[in-house]
Amino acid sequence: MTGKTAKRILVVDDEQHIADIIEKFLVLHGFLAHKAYGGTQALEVLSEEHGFDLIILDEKMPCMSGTAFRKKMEDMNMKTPVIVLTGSIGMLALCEDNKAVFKNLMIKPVRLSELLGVINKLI
Amino acid sequence: MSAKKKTAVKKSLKKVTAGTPRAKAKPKPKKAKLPGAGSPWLLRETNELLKSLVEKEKEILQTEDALVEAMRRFRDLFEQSPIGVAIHATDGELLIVNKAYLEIFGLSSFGDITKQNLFSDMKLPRDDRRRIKEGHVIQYEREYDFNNVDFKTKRDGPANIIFTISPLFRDSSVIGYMVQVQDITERKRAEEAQRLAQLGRLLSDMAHEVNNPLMIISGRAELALMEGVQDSTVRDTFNIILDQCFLAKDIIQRLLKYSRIGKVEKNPVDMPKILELIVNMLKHHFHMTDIVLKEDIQRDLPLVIGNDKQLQQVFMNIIRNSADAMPHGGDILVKACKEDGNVRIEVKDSGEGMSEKTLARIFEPFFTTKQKGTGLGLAVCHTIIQEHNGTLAYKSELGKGTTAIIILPAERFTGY
Repeated sequence: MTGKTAKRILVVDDEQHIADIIEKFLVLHGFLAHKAYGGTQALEVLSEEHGFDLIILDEKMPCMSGTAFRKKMEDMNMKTPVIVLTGSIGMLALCEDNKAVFKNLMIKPVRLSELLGVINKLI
Repeated sequence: MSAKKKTAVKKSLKKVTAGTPRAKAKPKPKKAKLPGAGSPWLLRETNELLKSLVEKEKEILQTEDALVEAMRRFRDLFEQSPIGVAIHATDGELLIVNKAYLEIFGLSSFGDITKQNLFSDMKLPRDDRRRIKEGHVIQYEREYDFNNVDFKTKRDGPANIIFTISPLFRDSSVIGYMVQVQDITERKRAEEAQRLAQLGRLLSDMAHEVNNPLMIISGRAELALMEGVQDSTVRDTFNIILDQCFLAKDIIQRLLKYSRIGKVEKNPVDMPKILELIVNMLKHHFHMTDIVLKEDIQRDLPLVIGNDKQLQQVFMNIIRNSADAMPHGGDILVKACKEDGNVRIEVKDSGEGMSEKTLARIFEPFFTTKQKGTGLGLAVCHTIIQEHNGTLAYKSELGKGTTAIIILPAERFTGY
């Protein structure tokens, strides 16, 4: 990251502890991290701030699911790459639309070192 | 109706007709020879007698007809009943069975089982044998593997059968026994599928609930390690926490897979091809060990209907289990051949073998003899093979090794 502008990543998870851990981990590895504790809050962040390089998104959230959030992103024509974190692929597998996201899908608990590998591949 | 049974009908009819007016009427014609024969009075009497004889004969014929009709009705009831029925004599000898009984056990004819005796059937617990003889009704369920029974059968695969044995009484003494059998295999399967579906939903919810705290625990531990921990004991502790979190994750994922086993797409599958693939993959894997993987796989085997990924998982697991049973090396032989139109696969190892006690529990979820095992491998394999209408059985002897026997029905037998 030295010499270049740090990449900006948005972490969306309703579980604050998890959002905090991922944020801390990202900062530790030289990224600029922003947190949102839910889909609605994340959409607010996205409407105010542009230029995110990546979104790390929890699938199961109470008000807006990860899938619903990605649908909104699509509607807003946002092409930011997304890594989806989920507790089980069962629910995602039911939706055909989610096939595209499978390659960037990680099942919780995620090894942070593995997450770093996926992030580096995407940005 | 067979000649034997006809005689039986006649005999019973004789009993019924004994003591009827016909028996009394017999000596009467002798009277006709008395002096005075030919008188109008005698003629009238004889005529009357003949008339009543004809009447009685008619009555007897009607009774016979009614009896035959009643017997036919009972025979229909016996033969058409969906419940298998067998009647045994007091000494346990098998006397007669109905169509459903033959069908449930896949028998071609009664001749195939005439030697069966209710009391020499070793699978009947001694205590139950005593209770039956004392006149009690007993009921029990037994699991059958029709690929491995000591009589000739047209059935294959596993089955669950309920037996009800009741004594037959005449004047308060036991004159025989009736065995009723009901095939509940399909019902059990449906219940199992429903149970698995419920389990699946429960597990999916549980996975979400449990994986978040696991992520927090593992994430904190990994973050701490990333930030740098000087003390090696503390570092080890964090590493153990991490490992255990991911072991827990693994268990949850396997359970989820276990509950989703029945919901996969099935297609015609070439088993020799799958086995070759796995054997080659594992040969490479065992390359640096003292484990020698051998194969005796027939190429022209019938196709089976199945899910190739699940079947791969099964054989991968079984062969790896064999390898785990041979910490000091040994041979594993993977054999595949055709047997009675089915595909028979054997995985034989020269490992430590298992005790009978262990053998009885290997398919139980969470049962394991390995230090780091989850106890789900064979439970999953067993369920997958069952979902393919096949059987998975293990034979083992301590110190001599273990053989896994998998039988998968060929495509034409599955009715797809």
